[in-house]
Amino acid sequence: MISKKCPICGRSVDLPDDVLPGEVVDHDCGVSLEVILNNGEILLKPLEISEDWGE
Amino acid sequence: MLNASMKSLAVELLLDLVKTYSPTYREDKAIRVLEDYTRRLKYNNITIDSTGNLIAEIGSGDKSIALVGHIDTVRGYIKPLFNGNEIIGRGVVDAKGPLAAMTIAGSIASNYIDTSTLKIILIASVGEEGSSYGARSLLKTLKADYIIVGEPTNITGIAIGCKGSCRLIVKCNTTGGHTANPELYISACREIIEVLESIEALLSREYTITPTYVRCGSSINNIIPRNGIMIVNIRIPIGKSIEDLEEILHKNINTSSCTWMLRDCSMPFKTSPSNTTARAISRALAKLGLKPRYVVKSGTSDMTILSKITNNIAENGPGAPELSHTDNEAMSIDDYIAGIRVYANTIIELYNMIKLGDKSR
Repeated sequence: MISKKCPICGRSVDLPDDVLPGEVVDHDCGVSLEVILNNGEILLKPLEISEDWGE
Repeated sequence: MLNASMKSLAVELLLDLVKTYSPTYREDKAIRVLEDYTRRLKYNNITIDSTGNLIAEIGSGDKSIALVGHIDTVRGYIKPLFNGNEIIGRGVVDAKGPLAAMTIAGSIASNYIDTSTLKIILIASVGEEGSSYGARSLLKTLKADYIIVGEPTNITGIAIGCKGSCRLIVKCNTTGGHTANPELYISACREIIEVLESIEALLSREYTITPTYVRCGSSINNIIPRNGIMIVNIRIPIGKSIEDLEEILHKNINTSSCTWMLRDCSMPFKTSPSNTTARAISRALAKLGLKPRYVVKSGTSDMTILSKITNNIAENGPGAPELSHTDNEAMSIDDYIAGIRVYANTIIELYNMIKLGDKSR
């Protein structure tokens, strides 16, 4: 397991060892967090959901 | 994973599907075309259900993933064309491209997973551009742990929700009168216009309002219009309900000359972006060097209906969604092949997640 801090509440978030950028985890504090890779380091940021056209 | 002969077969399949014009209610010929290909691609238990959906399987696992794409298109024939780089034709984007990509991908992925653990179910649904009668009938028969709905999302989009939709039908009837004295009478045409303006003023900040049909009066020049009808498509945002819409209309359409009704409504829908299917798609994209985008769609799709089967559901597919329903529907071969790779890798990722102990049901 990889442990990271939630950028919203500061508590720890456990991620699987094979986690990949773009995956989303739901944290206990209620926020959805997106895994990002920054200079080789795994970080978390609040997920942004956009509106897309489409039928 | 995708050798030259499979690429060639993939292009042939999509071209054959696009050549077989299949607007809603007239899908049977296209279903037969796809049925032939599913046999060539090692699918078994191939059936066409009583509604007309094609269902084809690979494997026998306790867990199953359904790949659902609709085979019907909107009306409006576009001459099919393959120019070497792209395929042009009605439905190539919405959604024969995604459906064909799923068909190929399911067959490819079956070579990389143990299908006695994860069964692949391919479904070509009918009626999506109508009342989604194909998807509705699947609710009675389909059991799947994970569902990917094949719709164009420009490959990297993972749609986890969509707006709801209703058809508002307004009918206005008045007594008529002489056009020389319009101030004495109520015109059905004016009533229709006023109702539309009132709806737009009330709803357009949150809802999407599109009048799709308006008719009133007659060609007679000296009679105040007696009858009018208008149909308005209303898209309901996530967080609002059909009841919310009804309440607003009840409170605000106050005319004795007009009646209104809502028909063919679907609720807005949103699932968790961390659901297992969405995760598998995001992992597949990442492994292909692509960055996922999480989106909710401003349109509707079969995803809302099929989410009653499992919350492990997401929409994804090759093709530019803004070309849907236009006379410019086209898909590049590169995008189509990329879509196949994403679907195939998603199935493989899902299989690996199941092996690691995903308990989703």
